[in-house]
Amino acid sequence: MKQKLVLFLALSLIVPLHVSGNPGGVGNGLENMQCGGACHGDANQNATSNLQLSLQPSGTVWVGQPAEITVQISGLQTSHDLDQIGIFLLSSTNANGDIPTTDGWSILSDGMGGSNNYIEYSSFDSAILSHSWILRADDIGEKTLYVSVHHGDNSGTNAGSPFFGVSQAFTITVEPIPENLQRIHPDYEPPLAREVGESTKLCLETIAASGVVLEWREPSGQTYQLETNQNDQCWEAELPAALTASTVEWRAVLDGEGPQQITPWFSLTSVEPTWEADETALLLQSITHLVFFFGLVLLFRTTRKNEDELKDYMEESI
Amino acid sequence: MIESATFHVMTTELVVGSFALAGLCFFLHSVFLFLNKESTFMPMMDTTAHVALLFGLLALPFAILSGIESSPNGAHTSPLLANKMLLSTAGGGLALGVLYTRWRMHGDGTSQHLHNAFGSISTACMLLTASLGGTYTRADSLTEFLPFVKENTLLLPSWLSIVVIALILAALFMRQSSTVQHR
Repeated sequence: MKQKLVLFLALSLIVPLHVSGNPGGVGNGLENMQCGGACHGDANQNATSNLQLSLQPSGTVWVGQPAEITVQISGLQTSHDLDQIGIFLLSSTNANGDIPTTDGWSILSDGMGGSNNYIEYSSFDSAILSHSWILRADDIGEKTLYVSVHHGDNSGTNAGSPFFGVSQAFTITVEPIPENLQRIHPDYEPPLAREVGESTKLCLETIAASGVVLEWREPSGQTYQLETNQNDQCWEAELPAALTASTVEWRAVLDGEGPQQITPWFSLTSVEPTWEADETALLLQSITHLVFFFGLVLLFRTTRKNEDELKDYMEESI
Repeated sequence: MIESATFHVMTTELVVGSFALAGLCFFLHSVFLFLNKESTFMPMMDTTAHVALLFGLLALPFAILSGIESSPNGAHTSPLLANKMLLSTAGGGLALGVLYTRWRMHGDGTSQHLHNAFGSISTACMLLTASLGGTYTRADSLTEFLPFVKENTLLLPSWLSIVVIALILAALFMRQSSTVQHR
C-alpha cells in the first residue's frame, strides 16, 4: 500500500514537468521579446525555430506618415508541424523595452483590429505567411526592427516543446517629408475595429491635399471607391456595414502639388457585439449564490434532524 | 506596491490548495465511512478537511476582490469571468454552510456522506473556478471539454436574486422557529 502511494506521488510530481508553453496562445497584445520569459514559463526551455523570417517596408518611410511594414515567415508546415504561431514585431531583442512604441514608432494597425506588436495566427493557407503592420515613425533617422516567432511543433525530436526564433536586424530609414507634399495629418489615427452591422464614418485629415479619393476592398480583394466630401481639412466618407465578422481594408489616394500619394491599406475589423452583463445584477447574483448554497446546506441538515426527531417520537410512542 | 494580478495569483493558490486538500479529505472520510472501517484516520481526515476548508474560506474574499480588481474591464464583460465569480461564491456558500453545520450543530442530524458531499462539491466549484482562470490567462486548461462554462452564463435579473435571497432567509427562519417549537 505504501509503495503504491509513493509511486502515485512520484508520478504526480513528474507529470507536470512536461512543458508545452501556451498551446492555446495568449492572445494579441503588446509584448516584449519572449514576453519577458512569461509566455513559455521558462525561456531556457525554448527550442530554436527553423522558420525563415524577413521584414521590409512597402516603400519610402516618411516621418509622421503611415508606413506599411510587411513581415514574411516561410517554412510553415515544412520546417515545423504547427497549429498556431505568435509573431512579434520588435525594436530590440533585450526582452525589455522591445516594443516599437518605445523606439519612436506608433503602431497604427496590427492588421487584426488592434494596435499590438504581438499577433497570433491559428491557421495557414500556405507555407509562407505574410502579415503587415502599419507604423508611423515620429522622428527622422535610421531605426531597427526585428521579427520574432513563438510556436510549438506536433512532430519531430522536439515535439511538444516551445520554439522561439528571431530575425536579423532590419534597418529602416525614416526620411523627412518634402514641403508641400500632400499627406495625412501626422496626428490622424485610423479606426481599427467596429461591430458587425455598424457603418463607419471616416474623417481623414490631410495637409496640402487638393483632392482625396477613398477606396475600400473586401476580403475577396474586390475594390470599391467611396463617395468623398471635403469638410474643412477633413475628407469624409462612409464605409458600409459588415454583415459578418470580417476585415475590410481602406486607403486614400491623395492629389496635390507633388506626385500622387497612396496610403497603405488600413485594416478595419468587424467583430460580433461584445458580451456585457448588468454589473449590479451579477454582483447581486453572486451574493445570492453565497446565501443560497449556505442555506441549502443548513436546510438539508434541519430536514434530516426533524425526520430523526419524528422517528424517535414514533419509536417512543410504540 | 504589489499589483492586484500578482496578489490574485497568491490568494487563488491559497484557496485552491486549501480547498483541494479539504476535498481530498472529505472524499477519503466518506470512503472510510463506506468501508465501515474503524480507523484513526477518520477523525484526522474530518478535522483536516474542516481546517483546510476554513483556511481556504478565509483567503477566498481576497481572491475574489483581487480578481475583480485585476480584470481589465470587470467581470461583467466576459461570460468566463462572470462564471468564475458565480462559481466561487457558490463554492464559498457551500463551504460556509459545511463549516457552520460542523461548528454550531456538530454535524448531528446530517448524514456524514451528505456533509462530505457538500464539502467535495464546494471543492469542485473552486477547482472549476481555478481552471476557468487558466482558460482566461493561458487559453488552455483541463476543463476544455466544458465549452458552455466559457461561453454562456445563466444570469438572473436583480429582482429574482433578491427574491431568492428572501426565500432562503425565510425558509431558514421558519425552520429555526419550527425546531424551537419542537424542543
